[in-house]
Amino acid sequence: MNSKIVSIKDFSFYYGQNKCLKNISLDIAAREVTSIIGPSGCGKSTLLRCFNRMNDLIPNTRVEGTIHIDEKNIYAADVDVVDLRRKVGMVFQRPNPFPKSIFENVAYGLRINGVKNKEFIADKIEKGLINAGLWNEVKDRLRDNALRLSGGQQQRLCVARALAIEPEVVLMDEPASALDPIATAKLEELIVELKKKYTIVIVTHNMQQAARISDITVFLMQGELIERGKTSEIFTRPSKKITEEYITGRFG
Amino acid sequence: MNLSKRSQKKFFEQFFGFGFLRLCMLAIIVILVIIFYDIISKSWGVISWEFLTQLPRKGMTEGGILPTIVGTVLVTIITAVLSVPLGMGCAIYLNEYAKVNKLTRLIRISIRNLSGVPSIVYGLFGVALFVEMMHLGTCILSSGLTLGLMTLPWTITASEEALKGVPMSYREGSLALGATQWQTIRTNVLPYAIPGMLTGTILGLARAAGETAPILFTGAAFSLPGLPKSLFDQFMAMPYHLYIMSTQHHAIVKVRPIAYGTALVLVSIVFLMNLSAIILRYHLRKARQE
Amino acid sequence: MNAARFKEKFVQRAFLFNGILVIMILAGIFLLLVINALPTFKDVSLKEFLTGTNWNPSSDYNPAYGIVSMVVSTFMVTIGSLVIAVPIGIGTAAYLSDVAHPKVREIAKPVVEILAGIPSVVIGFLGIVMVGPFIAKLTGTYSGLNALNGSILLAVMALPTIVSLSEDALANVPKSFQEASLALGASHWQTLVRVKLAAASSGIIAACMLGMGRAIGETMTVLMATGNAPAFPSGFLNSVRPMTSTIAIELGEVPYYTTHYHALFAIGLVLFLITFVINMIADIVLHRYERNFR
Repeated sequence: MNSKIVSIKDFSFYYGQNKCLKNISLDIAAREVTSIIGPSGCGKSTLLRCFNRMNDLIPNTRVEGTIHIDEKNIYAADVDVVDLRRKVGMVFQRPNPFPKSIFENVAYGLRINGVKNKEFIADKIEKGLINAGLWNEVKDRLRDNALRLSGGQQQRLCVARALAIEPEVVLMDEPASALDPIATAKLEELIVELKKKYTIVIVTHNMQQAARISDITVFLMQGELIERGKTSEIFTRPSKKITEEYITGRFG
Repeated sequence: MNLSKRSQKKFFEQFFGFGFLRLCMLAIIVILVIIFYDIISKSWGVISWEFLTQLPRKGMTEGGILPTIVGTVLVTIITAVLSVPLGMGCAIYLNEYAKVNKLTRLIRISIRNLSGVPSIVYGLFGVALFVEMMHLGTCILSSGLTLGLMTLPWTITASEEALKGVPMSYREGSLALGATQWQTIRTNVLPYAIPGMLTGTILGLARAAGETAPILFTGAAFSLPGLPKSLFDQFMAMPYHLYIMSTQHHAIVKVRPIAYGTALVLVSIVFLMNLSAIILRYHLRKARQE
Repeated sequence: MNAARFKEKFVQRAFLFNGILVIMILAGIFLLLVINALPTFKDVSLKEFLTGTNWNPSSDYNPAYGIVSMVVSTFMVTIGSLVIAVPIGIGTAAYLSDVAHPKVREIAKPVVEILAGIPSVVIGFLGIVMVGPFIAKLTGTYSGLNALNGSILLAVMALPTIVSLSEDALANVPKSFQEASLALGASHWQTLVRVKLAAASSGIIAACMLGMGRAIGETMTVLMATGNAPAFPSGFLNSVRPMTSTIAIELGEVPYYTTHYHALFAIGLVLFLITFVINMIADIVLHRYERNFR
């Protein structure tokens, strides 16, 4: 078992009066793929977006409990959210490349961090695109607008963009939900490849996907953590009846 | 039988109802056509290159309206210099930084009320603040600043609309990469919002260029011997000139053609500004759809 | 890193200040009006100012500072304009949202915007050269520069506001309302009148109030077209002098810092308060309306 990199303790999230996440405790190991599954509205995306504090953008929300990443509580008062987000990358549900060139999309994270050295940037971009499995498809048209890429390419570009600043953890929020089956397969291959270097947490509504790519599966329902375990075990002999019902498709 | 009678009634009701609505639309179009026809037909004879490029002569009964064009352009520039940065800044605050709280609500209420303050009250305010308190006197600067404050709420509203048009995912994507909020706004929001902001701003400036009441007592002059030499000079302006030529001049009937000519030039300039904004907006929409 | 954080804070503060500036400007307008209006009441009682019908500040023997005549004039001209503009405005909005072919709408909407773009002084000018003589010929009056003329012009000025805001209100009515009504066998017209207009009513009322606010504050058109007789108005075919005209005419002539000068600021203050109240009411109505649908 690898060492844990993310450690969530007794964590709750409130939207107004509504308690969306209820006293969740969970550890996430380094260099593994952890998938979070559960029926829609169970809070899985909300939980994911707490890891890089993207929920700060939503007014009228608050949290209780702690999330430690690298032994540091990310909700502590002295934490710089900007630093945190450099360390914890994110890929969104819908591909959201910026309306800039492919090159500039990947360079964005470096540029905002003050990197000026052109060779360094070019090198990072190449590595990022190679890591994202996109290099061969786009190497001849790096100056093209990223919006001209196909949906699957756009999403892998977003992965490259996130990887270029070398985060420790990569969050993926239903990254394949807007993609066709072939693009999805490519993305899944990529995710499995990426776990050699990165810790990946992925939210998905697709249970086969979770089964295919993840080492650990977490089942969430109505804001509560029902079960966490090795993916092979969760999908073959879940310890809770309700998990079994969900997995076998009795509801959801 | 009964039912068909009722549906017949329904049909006629709708026929006349929609007829009335069409008449309403037609009324507005007719009003616009009459306005343009009257102005254009009666000013056609006066408009010439000389009319646009010469000073008025013989007690403004002959000659051109150059000083009024220059004055209006200068004042509008001052207006833009004050209103555009402040308006964009306020819009950025409201759309990017502001939280949902009492202060934000108060700012929004203030904006709505500012846009409802009568133009003549802005004129009074301009006299009290710029002309008297700040001792700027009646001049281009005072008038421009007064108009700048008047256009501020329009600039804010238009800029905020443009900012709202930038997809949230651009901001999220940037923030998730560890960009600070200002970096995100500067590099990934403003570049896509600025064309839209400009569209709304041009519309506001066009309205400002045609305003008379705020400049009546803050700097516009009845008649001046030449062009203004500095921003602290009084100036002649197209809308004020039209007002004078149609109500205050000693030979009103004689100068009526000049009044019509001034009206046409004024309407044309405002119209051209509007048109450029509309065209810009059209291209923006198309670009966004692609 | 610390410098970057400091910069972030600084930028945020600057924008915050920019936002607060707007409140300060509104407060500043109010404050300067009050400061400049107050000295009026050293010489004139508030009661005389608010209830007197005689406005004659330049008289040497017996200056009078009653604003009732001009307030009545203002409301007369405004109400006259609403009588014309409200039906046409709502009708046009309904036409644009429910009757017009999308292609027609594409052309018709800019028409309304162009109308909104015509400077008030040009409308006032047309009041003198076109509407005035027309009214004079029609009614046999001398000049045609009267309350009716002002009402017609203000209607033209208020129309674009009423049309575009009413159309927004109609567009915001959920489509399901309309579909439900049509499915019950109501005609398009019945649906429009009984469902859509009813559902959008508060938005439309707010639109009309904002149009009214615009008409009350409008200066150049009434200044040029209403004839400017400072007497108590006796009918739509008489000359009137609304509040805005009074300020526009007299501020250019008075010596600064006299009672007369301050009294003009007092009129401005009254005008400010009237439009403020109207805007606030419109705001509340609109707010309630938005809450209903979101």
